[in-house]
Amino acid sequence: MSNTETLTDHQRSYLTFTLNSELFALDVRQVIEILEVTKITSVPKAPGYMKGVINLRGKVLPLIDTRVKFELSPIEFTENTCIVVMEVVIDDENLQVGALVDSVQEVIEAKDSMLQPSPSIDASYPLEFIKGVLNVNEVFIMVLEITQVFSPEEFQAVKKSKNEGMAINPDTE
Amino acid sequence: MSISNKIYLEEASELLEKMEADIVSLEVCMDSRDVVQEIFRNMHTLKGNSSMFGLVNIVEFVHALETIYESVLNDKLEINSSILSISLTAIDHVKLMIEDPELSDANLKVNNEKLSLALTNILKEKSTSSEPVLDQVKKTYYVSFTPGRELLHNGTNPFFLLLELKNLGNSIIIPHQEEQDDLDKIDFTSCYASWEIIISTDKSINDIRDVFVFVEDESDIIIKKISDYNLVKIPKFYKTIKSEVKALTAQTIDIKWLKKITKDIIEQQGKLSTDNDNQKQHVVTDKSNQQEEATNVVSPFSTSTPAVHNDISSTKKNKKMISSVRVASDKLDNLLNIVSELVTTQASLSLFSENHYYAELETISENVEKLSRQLRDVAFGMTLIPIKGIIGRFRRMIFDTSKSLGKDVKFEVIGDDTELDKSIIEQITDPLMHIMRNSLDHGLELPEDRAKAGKPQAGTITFKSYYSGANVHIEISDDGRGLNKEAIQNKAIQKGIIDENVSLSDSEIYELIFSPGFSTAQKVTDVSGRGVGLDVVGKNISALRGDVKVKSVEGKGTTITIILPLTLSVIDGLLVKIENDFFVIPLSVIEKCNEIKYEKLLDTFNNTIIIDGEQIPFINLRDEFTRYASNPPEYAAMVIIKNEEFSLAICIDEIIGEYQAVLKPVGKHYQNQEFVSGATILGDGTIALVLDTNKLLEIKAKINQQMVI
Repeated sequence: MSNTETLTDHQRSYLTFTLNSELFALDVRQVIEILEVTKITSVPKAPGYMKGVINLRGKVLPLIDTRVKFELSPIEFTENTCIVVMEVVIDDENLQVGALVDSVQEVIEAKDSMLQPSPSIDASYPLEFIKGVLNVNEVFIMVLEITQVFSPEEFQAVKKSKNEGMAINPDTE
Repeated sequence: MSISNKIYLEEASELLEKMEADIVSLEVCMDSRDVVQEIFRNMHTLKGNSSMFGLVNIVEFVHALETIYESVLNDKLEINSSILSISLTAIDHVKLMIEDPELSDANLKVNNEKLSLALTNILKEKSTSSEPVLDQVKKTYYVSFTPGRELLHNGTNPFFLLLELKNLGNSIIIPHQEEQDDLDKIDFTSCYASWEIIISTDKSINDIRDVFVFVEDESDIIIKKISDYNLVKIPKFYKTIKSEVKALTAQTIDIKWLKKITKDIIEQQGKLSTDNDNQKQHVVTDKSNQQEEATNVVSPFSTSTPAVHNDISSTKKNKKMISSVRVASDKLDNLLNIVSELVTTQASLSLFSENHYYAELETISENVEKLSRQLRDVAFGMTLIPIKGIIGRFRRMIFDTSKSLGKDVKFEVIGDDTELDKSIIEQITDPLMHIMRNSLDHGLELPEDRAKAGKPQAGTITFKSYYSGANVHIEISDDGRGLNKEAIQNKAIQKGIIDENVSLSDSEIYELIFSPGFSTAQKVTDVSGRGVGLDVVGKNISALRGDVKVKSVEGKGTTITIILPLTLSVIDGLLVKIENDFFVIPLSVIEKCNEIKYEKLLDTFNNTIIIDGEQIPFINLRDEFTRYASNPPEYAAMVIIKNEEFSLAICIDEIIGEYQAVLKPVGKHYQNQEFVSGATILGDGTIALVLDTNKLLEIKAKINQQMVI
């Protein structure tokens, strides 16, 4: 690895995981830790994708069922099911949130230039959730827009409208 | 922002707040010398701090302000309301200047000039009105300032000190430099310079010492009075010093020599001045000579310079004694988090020792329990601060507002040492401010109307706070016109807040003023009635798990009582169970508990049951939370909660027992969640959700309305 990379082409690390046997990736800088499934306390009258809360060493951590968020069937617990704890920044405040995923795979490295805009035709998932697609050895990995997927609902609405405005740019380039 | 800047900002705003409070309190009793002294002292500290950071504009401005109070202390000026109001404006201005010390905002700059002029005008008025006094004559001091080698390391800029000194009066500054032969040996981060200053000023020797207050520990500072006369202004003295003393050398002024030439020059000057000066002036010169003699006599006892220096620093050190420590609030929050975790861990230890009987373990566990309880009390006690801290702002607001409304207002405070959690105080300030503003604007009548109604011309607003159980009550009352019940009711019907046919109790009607979109004021004034109003207040208070009560007698006045929990982080609760999930109900709202056959709940009319001969509506949480995984128990437990007006029975599966819950937020993801106000972690690590009883009672209120219709 050399230092001659241009400023815009950073090498980044991504954590990959599966949902419905498809590969997804998260920027590792926002991932704090990976936990096994523990006792989940469900919160009554919450939106369906909010699975409940868990006790993370004395802290109360909200838990999102990522499958429901992606309009898939609710998660079924297997020995591979994991909780990815991450940090999202909303209004200058760091919020910790856990995401339930089918399994966690590995950490991969990729340059920014490898990140392609997501193919809008194949919109099997809500588009605003996907930051782009990585092509690693002919395997396509969808990189998630963490703030979009894992923020409380009312903060997403704001971001969504901003993103629609920005989405024009990649096409015109 | 660097840490030292942050400290400066924090201290400055604290000082300004103190000054503000003191100035407003002067309004009540204008001749309080202690208060003026305090104001002056704070201004001086602020000036000193600002000059440490080289904020020249602030220094100059505060200096002008300070001079006024100094004149007051010297009995040259008397406090009057115009001084007070300009001081308040000035303080507001300084607050802005702290944010923008370079005055980059043009408006600010214009304001700065205007206000500075206004301040100096006050002083000028004084000097024309009062006779020129003798002690205004400037005295001359010799100052030697030799900074320690490391002075520059902590970021102190000696030039700022010299600048501050220079601002005190007329001065001659002579720089010196340690002689260094070997350039290689010079450490460029050390300070090799020293200064000698001869300054003529009307300030006292203490004021000169104050300039060096932050560096005196590491520097050699000698301050001596050499004459009672303004020497620097005498051309001959100036010339002599300039020609005889060599700058930029290590050779310093010999004090004996200095005194000798001083004496000579004054004698000469004295002779000269008799020609054109009056007799009075002559006396001054003579007097100063006598005093000169006196200092000469004393000097043998204090000729050794280190002694003088020690003297100064020891008096200073006494002044610095402090009884409290400032701690960053996030450190405190951190401590509380850790203590909360400790309490949780301790609970699991207790649980473990209960389940496994070892005599020794039990003792240890009990000790840990005792200690952690004490630690918890101490830690939570630290976050409690007296409500006094925000009273100053209220006083200020009432002072300003009553002026602009043309109303005469007395503000009475009872129980300002009541302590509340700091986060509650932060969040309650604005709502309280709003309520008081409303009382001032809508509650109190104009002086002439009051006279007609046979009331004293000056209205009274009373702020009263006291403990009541685990709550703090804050009462704000006025003796104004009181609330008009009918007007409120009509308005509420007109705005569609209540239904025409609903009959409400008096207090229910009064509490309508806290509903959204409600404002009875005929017109919008700049004081209150901007549309967003008391409903925000109501919302803020219920967010703090607080409650508002309104009492009013038409023509006599209104009392608004706010009931707040002592602390936000620990509550006493009742631990209950529904299926396998635990919930906590705050003990403060529970009236009684009961048991009932589950099947009785199934065929009830309007969801009410009869408990102890009383018909009470109930909520079955199994239905509400759609928990049907297991069969309900044969006997369900009923917890009856109550606020002022309603009772409501909550049906759950089982009551576990009392539990002291450390409240934790459930996070923004559950912000819109209606039934849960927080969560707590039980001894075995399980999470129990804390029920929001206010919400449950609201649901009950809806049931009630349905029943009426």
